[in-house]
Amino acid sequence: MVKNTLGRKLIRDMWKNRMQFLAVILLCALGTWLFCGLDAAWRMIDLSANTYFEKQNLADLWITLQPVDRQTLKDIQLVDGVERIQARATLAMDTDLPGDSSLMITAVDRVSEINVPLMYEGETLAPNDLRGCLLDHAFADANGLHPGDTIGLEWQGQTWRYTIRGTCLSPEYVALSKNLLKDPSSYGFIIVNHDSIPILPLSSVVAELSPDADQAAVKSAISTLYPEALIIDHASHTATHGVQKDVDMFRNLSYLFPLLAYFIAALIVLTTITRMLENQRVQMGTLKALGYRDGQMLRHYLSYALYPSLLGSVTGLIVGRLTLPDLLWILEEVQFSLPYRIQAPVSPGQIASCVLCVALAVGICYKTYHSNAREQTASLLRPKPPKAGKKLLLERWTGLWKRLHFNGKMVIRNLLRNKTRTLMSFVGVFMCTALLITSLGLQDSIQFFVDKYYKGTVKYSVRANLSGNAGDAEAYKKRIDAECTEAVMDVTVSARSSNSSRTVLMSVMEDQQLLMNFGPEESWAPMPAEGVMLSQKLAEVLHVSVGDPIQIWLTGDDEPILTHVESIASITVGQSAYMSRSFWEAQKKGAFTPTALHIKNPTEAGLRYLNDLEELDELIYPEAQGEDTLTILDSLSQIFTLMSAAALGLAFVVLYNMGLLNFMERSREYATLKVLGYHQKEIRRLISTENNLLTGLGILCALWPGRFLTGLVLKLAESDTMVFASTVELPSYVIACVVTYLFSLLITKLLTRKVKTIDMVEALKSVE
Amino acid sequence: MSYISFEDVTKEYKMGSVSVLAADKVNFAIEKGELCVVLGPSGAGKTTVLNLLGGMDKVTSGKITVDGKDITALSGKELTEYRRTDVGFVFQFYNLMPNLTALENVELARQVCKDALDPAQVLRQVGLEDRMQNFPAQLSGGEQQRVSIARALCKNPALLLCDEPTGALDSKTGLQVLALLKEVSQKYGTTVAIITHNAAIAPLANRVIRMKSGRIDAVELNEHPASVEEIAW
Repeated sequence: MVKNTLGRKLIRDMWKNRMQFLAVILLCALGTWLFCGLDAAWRMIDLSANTYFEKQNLADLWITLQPVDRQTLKDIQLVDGVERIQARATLAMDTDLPGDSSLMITAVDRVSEINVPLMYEGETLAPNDLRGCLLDHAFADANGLHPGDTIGLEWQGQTWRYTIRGTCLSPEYVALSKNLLKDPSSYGFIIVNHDSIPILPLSSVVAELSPDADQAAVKSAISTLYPEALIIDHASHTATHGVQKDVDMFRNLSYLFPLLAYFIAALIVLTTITRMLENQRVQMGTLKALGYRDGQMLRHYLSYALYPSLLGSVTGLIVGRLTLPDLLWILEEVQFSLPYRIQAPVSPGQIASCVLCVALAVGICYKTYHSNAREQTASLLRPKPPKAGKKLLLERWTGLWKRLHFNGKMVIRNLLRNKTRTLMSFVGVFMCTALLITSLGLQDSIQFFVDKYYKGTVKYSVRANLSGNAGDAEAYKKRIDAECTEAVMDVTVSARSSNSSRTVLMSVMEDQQLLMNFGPEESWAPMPAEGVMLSQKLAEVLHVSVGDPIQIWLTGDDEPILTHVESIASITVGQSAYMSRSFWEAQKKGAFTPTALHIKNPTEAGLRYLNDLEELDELIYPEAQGEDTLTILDSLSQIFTLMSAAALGLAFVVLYNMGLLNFMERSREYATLKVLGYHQKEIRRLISTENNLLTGLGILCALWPGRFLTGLVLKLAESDTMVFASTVELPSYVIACVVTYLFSLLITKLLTRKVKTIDMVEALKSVE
Repeated sequence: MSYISFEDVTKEYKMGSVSVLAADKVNFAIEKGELCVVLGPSGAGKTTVLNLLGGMDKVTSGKITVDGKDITALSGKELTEYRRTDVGFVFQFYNLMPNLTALENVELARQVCKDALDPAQVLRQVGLEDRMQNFPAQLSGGEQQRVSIARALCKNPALLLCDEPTGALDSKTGLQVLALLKEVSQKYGTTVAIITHNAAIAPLANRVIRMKSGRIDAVELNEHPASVEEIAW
């Protein structure tokens, strides 16, 4: 019976304070939503990718060496720890399809047991099938090819024709791109049997290690046998490395944002619950006086925190797992071709976040309850005297203090009297502004980065891509009517350092080229007379710096260009290498045949001449490219906008809740003012001055942290192909400040509307 | 015409389906400069009368005139204006702003009033010249009530309304406060209305209005009001 009555009281108390309880539920939900959502997202990506890799038996090691013969295979097979190996030839080849598409051919020696393709359509490739191939599903899709169609590959003047037996995905080509992002219409992979193209030398071996093998030992054993071999493991392979990098990014974000959210949630739960329990003082005293035991009361009052926080955090967990992973997966699909997604089971971290949330709320509740219940019953029955006013430090500065308007003095005293509440509102405004700045700053940074490349680095106004049979560079220069024309030869190469390798585009450019700015801050820098120039990101993924040796393997060549890194190009986009024309010609690897022309300010006649060229593939305008890049990066900023929206919601709850608490606490004071003859407008002004002051302060203090957060998020989100420099433009600061201010104005409006409802008769009653 | 007059004033509170008649056809008058005590047990409708007189509540029917002005016909804004300039309030629980000093609490009244008195001067008058910079929590109950009176006086009101001004005070302090109110009435000609359930205060007044169950029970006039020294409880 007793329990029943208290239970009824609990439900009625909750209903009476529903806004506060709702705030606690919402805050607990938001905190866990963010953490569990992000946690589930990276676990989903991690699990999906790894399951895929494991099921398709992704190689543990890729060993590139030339030539691979029977003896080599025997040697490697005998290394302790190596379970299975497979030899193959890989090479980028042009297709005979219209347009400028190429395919990475993987000619496998016997049946694929490692890097097993995942079939999409059609049938698998029989080991003795000399006419058939398996084609990259995305490539087939983008080019309208189906099983049964044929495709031709061109290499050294010869063409090989294959019939497509099936389309597939391959675990080793999860991230397949020549430059910035995957572009399935122009680049993909194709798998054939090596016997169908024996002229291609076997150039690499993939190895699967036994489960208990020591990878480092295997690597060093192979290195001892073949010192010139390039050995790549999961840590540096494009597929595994790229996915891992993203998983890391989301994991990092899953610590940063929820930390912010939890901090706010804890503070608001603290103030709300403290306040609710303090309002219950007299009732606590009454219950005690009636003879309720401590345990019963404790259970009753802890329920104030337990139920809302439990409800909130479990909701957050469920909703987080249902929403965020799917959203973030879309971002993944821009870069990676993964066949399926697997939701990871609830992780201990996710449960811990719920438990933490509940424990925090209940802990705070217990502390407040304890400090109240410790008092004598009699003293509990007396209302707590209002907090005394105090002289402020500021008042010592009499010059300023005297000059302050009376209302100003009152506002400042009020703000400092209840420091927790003031701090909370401040934090609300602060967070709101900082996150808005970050959100807008992120857009700015992306725009800045795109502009930096397409407007700073790139100085040509149009780039003309030429097909294979282009003519002489000098002839074009003479015939195209433009301010400046330069020829470029792009070659697909494999750049190898001592511990990593990447397939990239290398641009051979004229010695005195002027239409690309490779220097710092988009200044012009000379092409290296000797050696190569690498983009920042390529140098980073190859772990090389200026002066380090580097091998440049041309497709299908058995002798690399052995050279060194002469300089690093300060460009923000892409993994790419650059070489001067004279250095290229000195390598005797073939003539300088332009694949593209960079043209600055062509005349009408110049453009017409270009358009009439038979070998013209397409004209590319940098602005259009910039737009394309922006669209691709959109998903990143969308995700962040979503998080900011959540944070704004949080800030709203904080500000409104705090304002409401303040208002209710002081309603007696306001009633007195009303009796004294203060107009409603004057009381409203008092409230809004206070809020405006806090808002102004919060906004001012958030400017720099917002800038800092932008940099931090960009650092966490940094990808393998782009260098982001964080920047926040002035309009973004202004927008963030104005929006926050309007936000706070809205809340003030909502609160001051309540002035009308203040009952003056209230002021005459005793303190209750 | 009396300074204050209540004519058939009725106030009905509706609480759901139940309606309570807090003032039932109340008729009385108070002359200018009088010290008037409204006396009655709790629930007699004293506070309702005070609220109506102070412009804090609206009548259900009837008419209240103050200095020839029909305050029942005033709009919300005009009522505020009326409270601002004509009425001073003294509350049972003082209702001081806890985070303003004594002086600042009095200044609070000056903020809204055109011809206010000098707050420091008023505080000196109520004998608090040494306590001006103190916050309410640092003052005794009697001192707080004196600040509250000073706050009301600062506006130089024509009418001073006091709701149980001694209700939260011990008898000695209570008497000091009453002496102060009497002095105000005599010295400045302010009309003072004191609401109380304490019959011992009645002899001080020029006019005693006794109330019971929302009606006027009796109105007595004292030709020779007693001085504070003569009464005790």
